[in-house]
Amino acid sequence: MSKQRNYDDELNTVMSFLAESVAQMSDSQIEEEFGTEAAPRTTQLLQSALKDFDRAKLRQARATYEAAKRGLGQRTYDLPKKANERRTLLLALTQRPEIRSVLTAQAREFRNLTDSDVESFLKQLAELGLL
Amino acid sequence: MAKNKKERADAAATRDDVVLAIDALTYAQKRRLEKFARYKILGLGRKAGRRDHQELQQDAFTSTLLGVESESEGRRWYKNRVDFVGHLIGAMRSIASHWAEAFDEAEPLLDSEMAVETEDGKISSPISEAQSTAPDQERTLSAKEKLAEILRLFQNDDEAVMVLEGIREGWTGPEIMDGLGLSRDKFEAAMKRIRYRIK
Repeated sequence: MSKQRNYDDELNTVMSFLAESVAQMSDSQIEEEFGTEAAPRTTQLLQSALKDFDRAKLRQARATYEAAKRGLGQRTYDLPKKANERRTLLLALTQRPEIRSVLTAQAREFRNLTDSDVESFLKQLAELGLL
Repeated sequence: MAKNKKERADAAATRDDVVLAIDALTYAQKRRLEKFARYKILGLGRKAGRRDHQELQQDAFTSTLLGVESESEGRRWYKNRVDFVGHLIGAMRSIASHWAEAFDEAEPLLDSEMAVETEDGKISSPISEAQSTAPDQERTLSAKEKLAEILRLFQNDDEAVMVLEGIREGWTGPEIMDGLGLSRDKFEAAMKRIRYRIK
């Protein structure tokens, strides 16, 4: 039975052999052998990949934030209807040590909070199961 | 003491290490990465899809950045075990292999393993009775044509042709030297001519 040939594998074997030979070459051999070729763009390529990576991370963080924000806006919460009642509720809650510990410094200075901030903090406390 | 030594060896690079390593690359290191990527892409042939050597280098680097930030994703660079270039070469090797596997899995019926050409030039396929082998033949011949084209580049260079044939057979460098009776100098000179013509 004749030996079967797989040209894809053979091509890969040849090129991988050449790739590995380059990986083994010394710096001086590389400079001597390829020194006349146009300068490689490796630095620009990697810096561009770094920028793309950072942009993708930022997009992902923004998408996560927006999804969480949408989630808070869409859920229904059993909060007082009037703004002053919600503010009174938050004030009362801030007296509880377990809640004080999770509130940000901004929330603890609740007198400076807008009505919208008060509502948002109450929703976040509800999400944490602290209401 | 031994533990401290191991901890130092296991220290994974930080993002700053990676960013600094880009700026510190020498001409020879950049060329080594570029050539390695080019040859890997040439070897992948159709399995590379539309990807090129630049994408292979960038994917290796992106995988390194992921490895800096995640325990479970990407590829971690242990800078005390291997230098940056050695790490990226390892990553490219692994990514190229993954691309080839993904291609084989995506096209099981078109896999060149399913349609192979015998030494007497006939196409033999275990699925030939079930469906046409025309696409397999085209793909197999494409790699065959590339190999033939490579050999044509060296029609006046018998030593280079013999070295290439040895590589095709899967021989190692020492096996080629032994098998063909070539000195190291002659083997390396042939390799240099091969690399010069195949870019």
